[in-house]
Amino acid sequence: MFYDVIVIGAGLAGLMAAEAAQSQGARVLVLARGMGSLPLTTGCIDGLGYFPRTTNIPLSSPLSALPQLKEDQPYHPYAIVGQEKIMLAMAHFQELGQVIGLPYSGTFASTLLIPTPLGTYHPTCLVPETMNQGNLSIPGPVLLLGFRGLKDFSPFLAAENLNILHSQGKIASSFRAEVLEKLDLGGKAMNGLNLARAFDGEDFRNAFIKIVRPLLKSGDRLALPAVLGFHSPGQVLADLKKKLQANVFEIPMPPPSVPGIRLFRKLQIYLQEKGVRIILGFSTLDPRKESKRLLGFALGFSKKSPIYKASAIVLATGKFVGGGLDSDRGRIFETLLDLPIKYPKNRREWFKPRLLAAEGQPFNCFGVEVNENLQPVDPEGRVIYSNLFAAGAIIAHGDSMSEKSGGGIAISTGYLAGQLAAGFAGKNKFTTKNTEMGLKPKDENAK
Amino acid sequence: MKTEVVVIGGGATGAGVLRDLALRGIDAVLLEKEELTSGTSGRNHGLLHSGARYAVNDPDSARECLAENKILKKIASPCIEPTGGFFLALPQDPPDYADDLLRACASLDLPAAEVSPAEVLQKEPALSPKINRAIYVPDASIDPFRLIRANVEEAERLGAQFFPHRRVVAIFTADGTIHGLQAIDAKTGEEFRITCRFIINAAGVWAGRVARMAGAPLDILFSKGSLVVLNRRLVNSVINRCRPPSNGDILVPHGPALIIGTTSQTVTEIEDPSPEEEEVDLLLSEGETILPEVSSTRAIRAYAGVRPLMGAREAGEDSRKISRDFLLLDHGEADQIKGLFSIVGGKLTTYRLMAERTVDVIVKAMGRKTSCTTAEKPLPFPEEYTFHDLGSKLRKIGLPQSFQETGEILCECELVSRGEIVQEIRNQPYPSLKEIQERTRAGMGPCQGGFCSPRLTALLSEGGKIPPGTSLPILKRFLEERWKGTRPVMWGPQLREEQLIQALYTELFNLDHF
Repeated sequence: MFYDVIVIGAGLAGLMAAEAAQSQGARVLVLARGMGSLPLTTGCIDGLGYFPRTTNIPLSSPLSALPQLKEDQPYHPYAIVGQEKIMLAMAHFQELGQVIGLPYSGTFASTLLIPTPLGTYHPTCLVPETMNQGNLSIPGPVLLLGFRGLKDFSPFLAAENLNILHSQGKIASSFRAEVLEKLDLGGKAMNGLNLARAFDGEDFRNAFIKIVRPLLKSGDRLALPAVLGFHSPGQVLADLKKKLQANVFEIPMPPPSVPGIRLFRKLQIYLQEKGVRIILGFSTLDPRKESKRLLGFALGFSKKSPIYKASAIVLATGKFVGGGLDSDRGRIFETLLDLPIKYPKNRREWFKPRLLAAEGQPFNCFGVEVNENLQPVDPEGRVIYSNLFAAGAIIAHGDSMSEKSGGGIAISTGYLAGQLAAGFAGKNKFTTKNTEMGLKPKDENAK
Repeated sequence: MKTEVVVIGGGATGAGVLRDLALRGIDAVLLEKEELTSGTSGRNHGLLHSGARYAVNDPDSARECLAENKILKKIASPCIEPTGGFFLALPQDPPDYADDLLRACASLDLPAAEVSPAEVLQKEPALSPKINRAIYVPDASIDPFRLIRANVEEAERLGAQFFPHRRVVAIFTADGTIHGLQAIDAKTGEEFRITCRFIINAAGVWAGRVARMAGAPLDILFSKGSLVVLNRRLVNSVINRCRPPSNGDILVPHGPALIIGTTSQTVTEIEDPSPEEEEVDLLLSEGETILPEVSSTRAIRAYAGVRPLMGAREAGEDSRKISRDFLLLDHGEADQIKGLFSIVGGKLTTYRLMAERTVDVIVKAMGRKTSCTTAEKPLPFPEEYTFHDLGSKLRKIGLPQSFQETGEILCECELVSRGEIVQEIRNQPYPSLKEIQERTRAGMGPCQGGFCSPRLTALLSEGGKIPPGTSLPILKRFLEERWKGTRPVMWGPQLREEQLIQALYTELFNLDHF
């Protein structure tokens, strides 16, 4: 079975790479152990919330910080991809969102603050339409609605903390809280997934509207945990808005995240319709290679294991959570190809003494080093496999958790890696800038 | 406020003294600067010694342990799991030690019996097949949190008073006699005075500081011990290495977990002891030699306690040579401060005996004649309480249909329901996240509260138990405290889960910028 491009990993970076390669005409196979990490994310696309990451004042525009970022951190994924391609990738993602029925609003050129279940705010860039009205710069009262038994959302706690931010003048919206006591989920346990399934049904929505209408005052916006349906959140949103005569929005929740699952499913379906093959849920991949080229992968170690081959490979396996990296007591390693990872030998230096250290955690920055073509390179800067490209969190540098840049990095590196891989397979004009022979070692002094 | 005796320190010793005083009808108050078991009493192996560990080097301690082991199994059985224990020799251990141990145990009437390695391996198949000698002893595992709380709760029922979060700042004497003290309410900053004739200094590692407030010198040697918690039980018996006491030589099963300890390191800093990566690696590699599966089992937390040891001047540097016995000091005799007594050192296993001896002395000083009954009277425990295991928990909470009554499960690792947590919060005047966790086991599993602590914080806030605007600092403080224990064991699946937890607090909650 031969493909132009095999993408390993089904997170946002992997799916973007698959889409980018497919749209160049490449035949694409996605191999992933599971659903990827989208269900673990907020479903919003963070751009760059803080720069430098030790500041507590959110950046007003990620775009405007890019030149300085490139100067300060030349190995940051954003610096490698470059401003022009980042903007193209983000625009492409927004077009894609329209096509798959999950439109995202916002732009990489400005930061939005949205509320979190703890009553803090979170700086992001692109939000699904269900979170549009959550923009905390919109003045006016918000009714925060919780559900008895939904364990990760206390509207009282959130309202209390958000109102403190309001009184400090940091946000424009103000909040009050209510909890819906008994809601019939047809005997199913109260959790975000079951609520989202229930909201897909009109009967449930009508019952919900009946209970909620008396709680709303004129001019209120209504905020709910992110449970507004799996299939057509836009329709659910429009229905609630019309019948309640109020603006409604979702607040992102801890995993499993409904907006993350929506994005995963819609992208998966779209890619499959476009002819991308997606194989999820195997336990081992056995790489096949010859000298400096990857041939493909066998799904398992037996002689009968199917082997998938491709001209180019995109590695989008994530960090520790995604499974791209793993560790033991004294070692960090890349799990699929044992690519070199740079890390301090002393385990103590993998971490900061404080968990929520302003400068971020060293272990969140570990990953594979890449050149400007997103090709993994060895410590001397030499390309390891000529047809391998990396995308997303597996790329070293840039503490996406602390600086709030995970989604933007996934989209921009995924998009570029997908195009480069398709180019390598001869599907477009995107060619890698340097051959492996001609590539100069990276400037080691910069570290 | 006026009372007869003020006890300082809410560890095992202070709690035991309070109960003993209350049972003898003496009016008493217990002051604790943080919470019950905040100090060394909550940072140990949870081992009920048989005495065998001390039999060769410290027969007096061994004798006391043996006696108290029997007593506690009678009076506190609901918080003791009579696991039994083994001393196991590997080829690299000193060959004579097993014989020395058997001889020493025999002379103490300590029931130690040699069993064949094959028999031990049949009972504990995870142990190293290289074992060449094995001695059975009546060690057990004990829950210090339950034990200490039961002491205080009974004392309170008998009229004694317990005040957490009260830090003693001054001790008053007149004409060489105690007449009271001053303390600060750590929650409100309020100062208050207690008039009393007797003060019992059971402040553990802080005992020197308390004694000095009264002008009495008290030198204590501090020895830090670190321990590692594995998330699988691996063995059902307490495992000791059959060699002179050293690092990582005791493994204690606790509910679903296994605790490996300890290290011993002389320190000068007593606040906030933290385990180091090197100590964790040492404990695990020692643990692996006797129990090979240790290396493939998930370590979920490390913690450290500081032992207050007496005899600092005599022992020099090696704190293991110092007796783990206790010292009862009458400062009336030693320093001409009548009414002040310090009780320092000892072990969790001998806490009751230490309390008995202390109160005997006080009673004599009072000129009264009451005798100790703590060895006979069983401690009161809630009826439904059994030693924790997940099976009993499942039987108790039943199937998801019954969640309507208990509320949803808030701690998925340890199956703790909202109902249990709400009840704990209601019962306590100043419940802290740590206290709720110790009492319910919420947050004690593999994620170490990573996922449930925001839920618990929300309930504290909704219950009105924390002032508005303090929830985020409280949660952050808890997370930083948790990180100290999880960081040294961070690799493999633990690191993977931690990155997810990090994502929760930083990518979603953005708590690193608040």
